[in-house]
Order: sequence, then structure tokens, then C-alpha cells
Amino acid sequence: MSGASPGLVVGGVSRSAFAAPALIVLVVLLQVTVMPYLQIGDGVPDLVAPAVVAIGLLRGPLGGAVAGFGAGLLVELAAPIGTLGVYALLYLAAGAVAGHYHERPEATRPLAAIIISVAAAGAVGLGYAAVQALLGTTLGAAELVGAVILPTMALTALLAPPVLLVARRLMGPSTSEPGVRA
Amino acid sequence: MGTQTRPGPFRRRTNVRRIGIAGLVIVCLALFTLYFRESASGPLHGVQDATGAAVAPLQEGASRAVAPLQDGWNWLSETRDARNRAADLEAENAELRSQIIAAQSAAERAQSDAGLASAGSAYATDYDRLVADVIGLSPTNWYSTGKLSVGRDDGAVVNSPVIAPAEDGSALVGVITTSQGGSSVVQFITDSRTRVGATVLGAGNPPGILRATTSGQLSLDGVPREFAVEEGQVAVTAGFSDIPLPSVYPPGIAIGQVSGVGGQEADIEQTIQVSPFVDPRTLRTVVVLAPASPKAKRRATG
Repeated sequence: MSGASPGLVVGGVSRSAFAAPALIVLVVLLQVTVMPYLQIGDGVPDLVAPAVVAIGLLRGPLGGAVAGFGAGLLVELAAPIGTLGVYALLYLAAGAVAGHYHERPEATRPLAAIIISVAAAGAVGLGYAAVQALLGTTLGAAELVGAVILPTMALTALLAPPVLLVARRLMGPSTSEPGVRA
Repeated sequence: MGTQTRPGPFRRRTNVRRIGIAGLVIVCLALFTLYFRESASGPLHGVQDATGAAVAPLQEGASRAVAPLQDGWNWLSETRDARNRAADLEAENAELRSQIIAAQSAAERAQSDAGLASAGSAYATDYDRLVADVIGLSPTNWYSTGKLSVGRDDGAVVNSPVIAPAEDGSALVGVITTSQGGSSVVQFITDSRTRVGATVLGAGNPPGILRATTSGQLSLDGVPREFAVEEGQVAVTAGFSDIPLPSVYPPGIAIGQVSGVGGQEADIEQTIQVSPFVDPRTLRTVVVLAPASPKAKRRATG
């Protein structure tokens, strides 16, 4: 509390309480409706990853994990995927890991956020492929990386900046910045 | 100083965070397990179906909204694919064409080699047979010459007769007019400057001079009318020329077939058209008869 303005604290929290779910619902809807049509190879851009990463970077590991869990669960409920809990776990992990960079000053740089988002999209893709492999659906490693993961990461890199920008606008400043508390 | 006051709330916050994340992970694993253990009509599948049904109109709307863009993209992709395929097929065609050409070339070469092996063997006592590639042809129709891959160093001297395989043995195609170290120039019998002392087999050995006329045909001039020359008879080198000197060509080399006999009744000589056995424009390999014996060398030097 020391040095924190009550208005900012209250404003930051209340904004985040509404903005994060709104952002998650928005990107999940876009992810399950529009993104499947922006396909290159077998890769589809991942809008959820930058949104979850943005929330993690702005609100910390727990905020990122909760956002990732919610987003992943929504994706699995809304899209005809055939699993439940897998994307929730993977995006949860992505949000929690991104949240660890929450208090690092370099994480506020746009390029760093984009790189973390792209890495998260790749990691989620690989993780989902690993789960599919456990379930008996296998894909050649070269095909998986060449046709799925790399195109997904490239497309995510293209679309991550606007998502990160919108997240930053909706969520307000990071809680690690002076005068702001989660 | 500050660090001494922070551990309590800081640790508590960290613990809350860890417990929260661990709880969510457990929820995920539980959902995953339950989802796969329950039947397709189970509650989790039901929730998934209901959410899917709720989002379906949005998905349908998005599908319709992006359909024109998708169609445009598909059209571009298919056009590009069609172009690539056309280019691939063109390349494949070119490859196949080159293979066919190579096969035809090899077959012709084999046939030619078989003919070359026997061409000119009748002159082996007086001449060395030099097999030569035609490495160049005159670019104009005015002169009918070719460049050969053998020259003076190989024994091909000026006035060496040049023959090539024909249907029935070999036939005269020209004479060396220029010889350098490793190459030489042959002046074909279809060149308007070429003169060959010739006769017609089966017509009483009439003397005549063969020269080129037009479009690759030959004319045998100077044959007296009393010699009964007929179409289909074969014109061969006579071994002499129009001047009282020996011809550079040894006697008996086939040249062509009589394709027409004409002239006025009042003329004392006949006009005889001869079609050469070999079209020099199609030659790729020939045999140069390089003079070896003193007699042949005398012929070459005139």
C-alpha cells in the first residue's frame, strides 16, 4: 500500500476484473470462428496465446494461469476439438510461465511480449501434439513442425501485436509498475 | 530494511499463487480424465455440445463473412497451383522429348556406325579410311560445304574423296577442298562448284561430267546420245575427268540414281538427271578416303 494511490489500485483491479474475461471471450470467439480460415499449411494463428501471455505479463503468474485455464477451457467447449482440459492445462502453463516475467522490466517491451507469445503458441501446439500422441494419433515430427507448428508460430507472430496492444489498452498498466497493485 | 518487513505477506502471496495454480492444474487433469472416462452422453460432453451449439451461429456467420475472402484465396492458390503444375508438366515434356531425341539419335548413330564400318572397304588398298564427324555445315544454300573433324594431321589431304553409308553400300558425298591440322572442309557434290567425272552402269560406260543443279539434284552432262541411258540406272565415278587428267575420285564409287533422261533429238548429248544416294545436308558422319598408295596420292595431287 505504501505509496500507492487508492484510486489507481481500485481502478486497476476493477478494470482487470472485467477486461480480462472480456478479452478472453473475444479472442476465443475469434479463434474458433475466424482463425480456422486463416490457415497456412496446417497451421492456424493462435490468438489465445498472445492474450494469455499479455494477461500473464500484466497481472502475474496467477492471473496468467487463471486466464489461460479459462481461455483453454472455452476453446475446448466452443470448438469441435474432442478433448477437455488439455488446452486449459496448456494455456494455463503458458499464462503462468509468462507471469513469471511479470516483474521484469524487459517484459514490458513489445518485442519481448511478441516473442513470448510466439513461443507460447509453439509450446501449446507441441504440447497438444504430445497429448494426441498419447491418445494414439501420431504425426511425423518433420510434418508436425514443418506443416503445423512453424506456420502456426509465423501466423501468430503476425497477429500477436494487435492482440497485445488491445490487451494492454483493456487491462491498463502492469501491476508490477509503481503505484499499481493486483 | 524493507526486505525484513516483506517476507510474511510476500510468502503468503506466493503460496496463494502456487496453491491456485496447482488447483487449476488438478481441475484440468480431472476434467481431462472425466471427459475420457465418461460416455458421449455424459455431462461434460453435454456441456461441450451445448457450448458448441451456442457458438455455432457465430461460427456460421464468420464462415459466411470470410467465404468470399476464402474463395478469393482458394482461387489464387489454385491458379498458382495450376501454373506450377503446367510448368512441371512442361519441364517433364521437355525431359521426355530430350530422352526421345537421345534415343533416336543413338539408334541413328548405331545404324550409321554399322554403315561406316563397311563404307569404302573396297578402296582399302589405295586409301586409308578416316571416319569423321560433320562438325559444321554451310549456313547458306548457295554453297554446300561442311566441316569435318579430321584434318591434315589425320591424313585427310586436299582432294581426298569423301563417302558416306548409303542404302546399298556407300556413296560419294564430296571432296576435301581445305585441310588444316585437325579439321577439314568438304565440298559436297551438291555444291554448284563441284565437278565429278562419272558414268552410268549398264549403259556402255558413257563418259560424263556430273554437276549440281538445283535443290540437291545432279545433272550428268556430256553423255553422247548413242549411249542408251535409262531411269533407275546407277551413276558412279568414272575415274577420269573432263580434262585429260585422272580424276581425284577413284572409279566405281556410287553417286546416285538416274531419275530422268532428256534433251532434243537434234542434240548430240543427253541431259541426264541424277538423284544422289546421300543428301549431304543430313550427314552427321562420313568417311574420308585418305590417299595411301602412290597411285591414290597421284590422283589427289592431279
